[in-house]
Amino acid sequence: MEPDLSVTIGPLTLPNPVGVASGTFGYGQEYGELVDIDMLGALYTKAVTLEPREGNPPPRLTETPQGLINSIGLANPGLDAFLREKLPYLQTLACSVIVNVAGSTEDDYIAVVEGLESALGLGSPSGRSGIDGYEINVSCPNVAHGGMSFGTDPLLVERLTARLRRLTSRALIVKLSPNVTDIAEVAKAAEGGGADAVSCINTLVGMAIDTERCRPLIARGTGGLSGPAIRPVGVACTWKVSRAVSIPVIGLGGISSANDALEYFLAGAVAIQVGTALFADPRAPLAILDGIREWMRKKGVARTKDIAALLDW
Amino acid sequence: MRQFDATILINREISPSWRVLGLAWSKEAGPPKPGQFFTFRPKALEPGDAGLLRRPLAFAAFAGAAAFALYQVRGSGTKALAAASEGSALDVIGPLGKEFPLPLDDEKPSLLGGGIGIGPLLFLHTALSAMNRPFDTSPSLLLGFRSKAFLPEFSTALEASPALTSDGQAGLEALSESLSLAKIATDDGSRGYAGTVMDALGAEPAAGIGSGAPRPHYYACGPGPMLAALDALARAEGVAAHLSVEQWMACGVGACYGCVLPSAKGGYLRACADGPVFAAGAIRWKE
Repeated sequence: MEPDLSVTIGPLTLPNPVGVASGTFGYGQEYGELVDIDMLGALYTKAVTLEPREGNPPPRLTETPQGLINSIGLANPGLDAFLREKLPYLQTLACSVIVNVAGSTEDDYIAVVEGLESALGLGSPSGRSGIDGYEINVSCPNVAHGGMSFGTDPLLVERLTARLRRLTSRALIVKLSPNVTDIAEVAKAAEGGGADAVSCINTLVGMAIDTERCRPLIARGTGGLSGPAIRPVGVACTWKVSRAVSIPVIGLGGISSANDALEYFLAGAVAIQVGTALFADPRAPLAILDGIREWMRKKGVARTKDIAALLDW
Repeated sequence: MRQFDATILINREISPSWRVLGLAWSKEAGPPKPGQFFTFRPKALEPGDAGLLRRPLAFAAFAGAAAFALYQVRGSGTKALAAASEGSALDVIGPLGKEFPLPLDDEKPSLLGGGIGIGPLLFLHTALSAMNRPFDTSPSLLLGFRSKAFLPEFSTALEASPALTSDGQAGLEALSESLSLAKIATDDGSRGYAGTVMDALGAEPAAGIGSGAPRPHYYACGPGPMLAALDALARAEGVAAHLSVEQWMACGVGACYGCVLPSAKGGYLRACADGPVFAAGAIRWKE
């Protein structure tokens, strides 16, 4: 029996559970010559903010043991340029497109989603809107709260989610930060605000220092740690969150093989995202999809959402 | 641009800590041009030692179906590459990035390479030489090394590889030929001009600006201070210059914005996709 790989996220059905994580795949076109994007379950775009952002000074990247610290600073062309320059390409894709939304104030997030919704209202010649949902990056510093990230305060997350919920009937996904005391509380807040799903997890705050020059290897000092180093954290967060909420959990953090992905599914995720592993091998997401399908056949699992029930513990 | 497993044709030491890498290049990937680069995926030497990032290398030669790069063994990625045996496969993506634009017909291409940055200039020199430009606009090549012991020896690598494909031999011969035509500067004066490439350039008779001689068009790859100095010189002289930069990269295809340099116009430019070749005046160099 051929397993059914489709996944339901609120109003949206993804053809398969493997997506590419925000910030690692640009707006798709950059990888167009290397990856058969139409075969992916979902493309989570690089963050879109209301205004263009230059991003942080370099160096923005450094490798750590089984990890990568980045501090890109949400460099992106802003909402207007996204609509003009990036959306037309996304509209040509067969895979689901989830726009990652970031901001410095609640109103920033509102303005981006409002702007996208009103632009999509006009429709596109191909009939594809080019946007199937939103992933809300609540790890951004909140200027109204002294730079503390939105994602650390359940009340703020619930209020922001509820405001966004009123603007769109497309899939609304809140991307959770692991840099909190209790990620399950924040996930419940997102669910309470009306989110269709949560992504779990964003990067962990990390720092690496050059002991020769006696200065941080990232210009901003700290950055976001990703890669295999954080996978056990992501799996544990997915496990905690999936037991705290009844909406779907999308797992990510250090997935570079089908086996890594299956850990997330067994912990309670219904879909996953591949990020840092793309840098080493752009073929990774589709290889992971093949591996998941193969494992499901072998185990006789009919649907991806049935995998979690196999956790024997 | 393609991702494919390239067979390693040659992977040999050419000077202390420098190596030449030759790859069987995929036709589907398209021919690399001088200034462009590829990324490779280092294989783990020890379990758990695999770097997460691919490493970029600039093309140093291309002949038929063989592509070459020069590299210095510096970190875990290049250490792993040095250990890769000839005949084995290397996961590569390329060609990537912007190439050096050709000089105008009335410009004299002046090619300057420092350290391991000489690779793309050797490649550009080979390409420009093959165009049979008139003598006064034919390319000149000036390369800088720490000491004469660091000058690459391509002939030894060639002799040591009797099984090399004819394209492979042609590539090494092109590297060797371009190097033999280069003026050399060494930091310690053990070969050629004593000093840096920029010192050597300054010591040359004036290019004859205003005397009817062709204007120079500078092309360079090397350490940051060298590129910054040449950028300033070209702008002062009001002549063209194109500089190739080196940066840590994650995606290599313009998606992640990890490899940026400050732009002179404000904001940042991606080394991988906006570069690695930039015109003089594009980059805001470190003060």
